[in-house]
Formats: sequence, C-alpha cells, structure tokens
Amino acid sequence: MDRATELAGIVQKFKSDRTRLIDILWAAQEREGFVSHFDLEELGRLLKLSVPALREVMSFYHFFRDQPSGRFQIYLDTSMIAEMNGLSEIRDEFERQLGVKVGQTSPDGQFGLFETSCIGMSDQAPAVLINLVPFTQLNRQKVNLIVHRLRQGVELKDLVHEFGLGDAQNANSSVHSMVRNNLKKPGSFMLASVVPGAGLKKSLAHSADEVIDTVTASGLRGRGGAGFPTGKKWAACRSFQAPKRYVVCNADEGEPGTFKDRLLLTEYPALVIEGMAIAAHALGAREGIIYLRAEYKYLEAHLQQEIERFRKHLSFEFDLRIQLGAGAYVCGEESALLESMEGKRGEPRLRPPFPVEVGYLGMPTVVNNVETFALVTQIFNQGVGTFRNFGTPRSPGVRLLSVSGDVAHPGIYEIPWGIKIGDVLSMVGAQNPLMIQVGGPSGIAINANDVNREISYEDLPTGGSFMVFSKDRDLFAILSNFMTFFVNESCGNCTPCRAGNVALRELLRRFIGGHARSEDLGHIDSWASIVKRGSRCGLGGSSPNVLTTVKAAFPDLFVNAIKPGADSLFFDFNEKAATADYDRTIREMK
Amino acid sequence: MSDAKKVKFSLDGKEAESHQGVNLVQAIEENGTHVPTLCWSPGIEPCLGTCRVCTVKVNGRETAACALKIEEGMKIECDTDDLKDLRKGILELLFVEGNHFCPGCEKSGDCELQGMGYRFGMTHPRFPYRFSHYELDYRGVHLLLERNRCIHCKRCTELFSDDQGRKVFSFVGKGKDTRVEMNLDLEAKMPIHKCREAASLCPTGAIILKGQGFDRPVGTRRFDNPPDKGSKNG
Repeated sequence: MDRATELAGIVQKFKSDRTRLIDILWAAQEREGFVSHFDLEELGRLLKLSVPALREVMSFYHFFRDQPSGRFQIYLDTSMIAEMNGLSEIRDEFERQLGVKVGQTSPDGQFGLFETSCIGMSDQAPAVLINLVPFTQLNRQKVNLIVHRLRQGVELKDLVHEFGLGDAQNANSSVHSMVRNNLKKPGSFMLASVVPGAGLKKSLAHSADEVIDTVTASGLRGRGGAGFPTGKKWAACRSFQAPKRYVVCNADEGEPGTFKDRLLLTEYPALVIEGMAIAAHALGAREGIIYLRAEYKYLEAHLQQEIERFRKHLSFEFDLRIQLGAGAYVCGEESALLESMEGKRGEPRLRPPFPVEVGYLGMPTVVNNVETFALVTQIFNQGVGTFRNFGTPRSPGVRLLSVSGDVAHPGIYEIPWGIKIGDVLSMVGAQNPLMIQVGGPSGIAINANDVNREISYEDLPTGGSFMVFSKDRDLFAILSNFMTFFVNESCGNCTPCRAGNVALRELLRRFIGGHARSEDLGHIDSWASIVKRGSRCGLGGSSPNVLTTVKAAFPDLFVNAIKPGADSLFFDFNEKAATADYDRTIREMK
Repeated sequence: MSDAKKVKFSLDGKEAESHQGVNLVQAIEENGTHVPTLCWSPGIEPCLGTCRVCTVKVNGRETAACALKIEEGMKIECDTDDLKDLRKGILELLFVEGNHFCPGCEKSGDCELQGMGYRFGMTHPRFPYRFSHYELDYRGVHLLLERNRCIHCKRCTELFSDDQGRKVFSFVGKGKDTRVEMNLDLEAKMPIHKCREAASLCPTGAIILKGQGFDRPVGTRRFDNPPDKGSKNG
C-alpha cells in the first residue's frame, strides 16, 4: 500500500475528525517512527489543516518526531531518582554502544537516543523506554546486552522476556512487561478485593443525586494533588444543562516520583473503570475517556481488554475509550488534558469557565484522577463509614504513596491520611534521611527531622509522590534537576512560567556556581512569588516551591553558598584561573 | 453596554461601578485606575490571557484581569505596591526573554512593550538577560518576522487570518523554545492591507512591514511622549 493510501486510511479510521489529531499522528508515526513533511502535507489535505497548523500541535509533544529518529527510539528517564541510581552511567553506555550523543540518531537509522521526564519507574530506576516499552533497573551490562540483542535483530518483546517478566499482571500477555509492581503495603481499603460490578450495582440502586450525596458525604478529595472535593465537582458538573456530559480519567501520571496509578492500571483497572461508570451514572454521562500518558502505552492493550471485560456489568450505555497522550507533563492539568484530547497543544485553558461547565468538546466534563475513581468504587463497596474510619476530618480516607529514593523498600504503600512523617520513614526503611520531597517537585520539601509533621491536606498534601534523599545527597543537584524539569515542561503559554522558571534556574545556578550575592537570598522568594502568583495554571503556580520550600527547610544551604566578599565587585574573578589556558589555547590554534 | 445591568464592586477598598458583562480591565479603567495590558486590548476576543501583565487580585487571588468579566460584589485590588511590582516583574521577564534593542527597532516609539517599560519606570530588569538565540525570518514578500522581539502573546497565531480565513502564523515547539512561524505561501499572496493589519496587530516589533519601518518620524509616534495620567498608553 502506498503511503498516501495508508494515511487516508488512518484519517478515515478517525472519521476525518481533527479533534482526534493526537491519535492520527500516533498512527501516522507508527510505520517509520516519524511523521515526514510528505505525511503532514497529506494529513493536512485530508483534514483541511495547513502543515504549520499540524506542526503547531505536533511539536508540542516530545514523543512525536518529524525527522527520522531511529527504528528503536530510546528515551532515558532523567528524573532525579534516575540520576541517583546511575542515569549518567547508562547514558554514557548507550552513547558509547550506539556511537551517538543524546538527541541524535545513529547513521544506520537503527537507534535514536533521547531524554524524557519521569516515566513513572522511580521504584525501579534507572529506566528507559524503547519504542515506549519500559526497561527498568538498568546498568552498563544490561544496556550493553540491549544494544547487542537489538542489533542481532531480536524483537523487543523477546528481549523483555529475556530480561524477565514482572510480577502478577505484568507477566500477562496483554501487558508483557518487565515492570514490577512493588506493592509493599496493600492496606485494607483501596485494594481490598471486591466483586467486580458490585459497587456499580449499589450505586445504580440510588438516584444520581443520592450517588453524588454519598460521594460528598465521604469527603473524598481528588487524588491528583489539588485535592478538590470530588462530590462538589460532580454536583457542579451535573448542575449544567447540556446535551452531553463526559467522564474523563486522568491517567497522565507525570509528577516525578509518582507511579501509583501504574499499579492501579496494571492490577486493579476494574476498580477504576467501575468508578468511571458510577460517575457516568451520577452525571448522566454516556461517554468516558481514559487519558493515558504515552509513557504507559505498554498498558494500553491491557486496559482495553479490561474495558471490554467490564462491559457485562454495564446496564446502561457507557462507551469508554482510551486516549493516548504524547509526552507533556502539563497535560496532567485538567484543562490542558482536555485541550490535548481535542487534538490541540496541551496548553491550560483560561478559567472560568471550568471543565465542569465547559469541558471536553464544550460539554460539562468531570476529570478525576485514576485513584479517585478507584476510591469511588471502594466507597460504594465498603461504605462511607468505613472510608471515613481512616484519615483525618479534613483529609478522610486512605491514599497510595509512591515511595522512592534513599529507602530500603521503594514501592507503593496504602496509607491513611494523617500519618506522621516519622512513621512513613520507618515503614519504608529510610536510610540516613536528610530531605523529603512530599508531592514531587511541585510539592513541598521538608527536613527529615520534622518527623511529627503529617501527610494531610492540613499539613503536607501530596499527589502521591514521596521521595527520600539521604545526607549523602547534594541538595543543589536535586534542585537543579527539579528546576530543569519545570523549564522543560512549561508549556510556554504564559510569561511567568515560560520565562520565570528559566530565571529561577539561573538564580539557582548563581548559588551553585558560587556567584550568588547576599541579595540573591531575597530574590529566591521575591522572584518565586512572581512566577507563583502570575502564572496561568498550577505548573507555574507550584514550580517555585522547589526553591522556596528547600530554602525554608534548609536556610543554611543558600547562606553558605554565598562566598565571602561576594557583595564586592568582581569578587569571583581570578585572573590566574581565567588565563590559565591562554598559552595552550594559542598553541593549539597555531 | 448602557442596557446592561449595573454592578457594584470594590476597587482597592473603594466602591466602584460598572455594567454586567464588562471586561474586568475596562471595568477597572472606567473607575479611573489604569490596568496595563499587552496581549489584550479592547476588541480582542477571545481573550488570550498569555502575557499576564494585567494581573490583579480578585477576591484575594491573583488572576489576569483580561480573562474575567465584572460581577456584582467582586473585591478587586489593582493599584497596590505589591501588585504593581508583580506586574513590573512580569514585564521585566519579557524584556530578558527576548532581545529587545529598542534604539535600533523600527517599532520604537510605537511599541506597546517599550511604552509599558517607560510607564512602569523600568530602568533595568531584575532578572539576568538570557541572550537567547532567535532566527530572523526575512523570506516573506512583505513581512519581516523578527523573533528576537516576540513576546509570545499569540495575537497573530490565534487572531489573525488571511482574506480566506486561513491561519498565517503558528507556533512551533514548547515552553522556552516556542517560536512563531509564518506561512510563507500565504504571506506571499496577502494583499498589503492584510500585511499592515498583521504588523499592527503585533504589540512589539516582531512583525514588521518591510520597507516602511521608519515611515513615521520619531516624535510623532504613539509612545513618544510621556503618558498622561489615566491615558491608555503603555
């Protein structure tokens, strides 16, 4: 089949619907690993969009490529946890073995080597994605073997097999992955075994309003991080009259150090799907969409199978589909996620109106986290009372914590809200802890001595990430990694986030490079405040926390980085050092 | 708006009045307080909300004024030292992000960014200059795309189209690497009045009409004179 016919088939499959552009681009990229200019011209003609308009969308997502990028596209996870677990060695080994630098494609067109943000494998770092198949717990030898085998022509799935399949469903043919669940503490609520469909059945015995009342009474708050009351969100969505309403599951788990949705989608997808069905009943929605981050594409077939399997429990019309993302942290923000689902750049919308009023395709839409839906199912199974037995009055219930870093037992833990930091540290086997990053880079850094602080909306909220850093770690290296993450992931729509995060990183570099002056101590807070208060969405609204919360927890860190005499002019100019290379350079030029 | 319902709100602690549905920037200005804007100006619809220099506090929370409509009972803070510094900081971010060499710019004196810099009394930015690399696109028939001066406001990418409604400007990339692109095929076919429209839509000198950069002498341009109190300039 010639390429033009193939592309026409792809566009036809999606009914020439330009809101399905992300799917169309994925399908177009499948054959050659990139979308060529020819492809874009064809797609543009078929979709009645110009090539620049297509590029505008495509270039927003880092897994889309417009140049030949290798038959095997290797993405290194550059998260801090990966950095601590040997990222530089495996990067070096890949570069040596492939003879290319990061960002390049090998001349034979076989391998492309790239970097990406956290891929949700912090409990088994360092990890890479090869054509979106995860390879975890790597070291130089394993990298060597991967490259060797792929050169021999071994298929990726056979290579996964050679490395050893993961536990439980990871070994199922629908997943076929070497990922390990690392469920360290199942708890008694969220992951309790249930009869599939039982929660939905109970909810169907009640009116939509009663279902919403139950969710409201449970005090359940969204598990993505912001903690918005779920019942309130549903009630708001229902209050808007519209021909259609949508239920969207946010499975764009991008906060570095978070991987608990990976477990839910692997082992407990029915809980999530059932929660979406309960929401559909409460909202009168007939369509639901799971927005799955591209990094979890290896779970797509499995999820699809589970969706089919769940259909027998549905007594009403509820169509569920999976929308694959394409690599953009900001799409975890609900309005950016909706933009992405509509085939656009994943830039957050202006609010109001909120998605509950004007959401997917302009219709009232509820967007909830994977874990939120799983909890809804469990609340209907086990009752509001049981749920509220856990947690605190303002943070009722339990949640999953993704624990990584300097701990003996990285993995997933079910915890009641209100648990003390000290208890978490001993539970996970923290090793000589210095700092804890609660809620990922966009969350809060605390001193590990603050053992009496608690994980709750009252004190330390979290979207599930819990990273422990030991006293051997360089806090500046951590800050640098986090700030670079935000610089890379800012969508670029608004000034404070796009330009402000770069300025904050430059400020940090002054401290790291020994160029900071005492006035820069104040700049940390005042510049952070501009980014935080001026930004359009929560990305810029929380990225400065990286600097401000570490400064609050470790004030000496920044003070000690200011060199004596820093406030005088040219304090750091060392003539000897600056001219040390002069003779050699001149010699080499001759 | 005279038919619209009157609404009362508080502006910097004083009682203020406007009409239902009026854009917050306009509602505040009707009451004698200036709100700086770059990506927005009267008539720009839908609001872009990208530059954020119109950030005010509504009911205790910072938000872009251009993105909201006035409502009864809103508590708005605008003219406080804290907010003025926040807005100035955002403006300074734009100055360090691009490469704005005003003295040599065709748009000098007519530039909304430069005018605002004067109005804010900005002598230097508090942030380090980035000296980022931007490609200049001189291939257009009528238009010059000078990306060093682009503030990524999206006026051209979202609001401008040619005579047949086709998109001429678009973004490429993400975050700090976002760049504006011009569809050269369409640009070549655009009549001069459309090109002029595109150039005047740009609040800075990023889209320039070739050969006509200095046609208005210095001294007669929009922002050549210091702004009057309460004027719309800058």
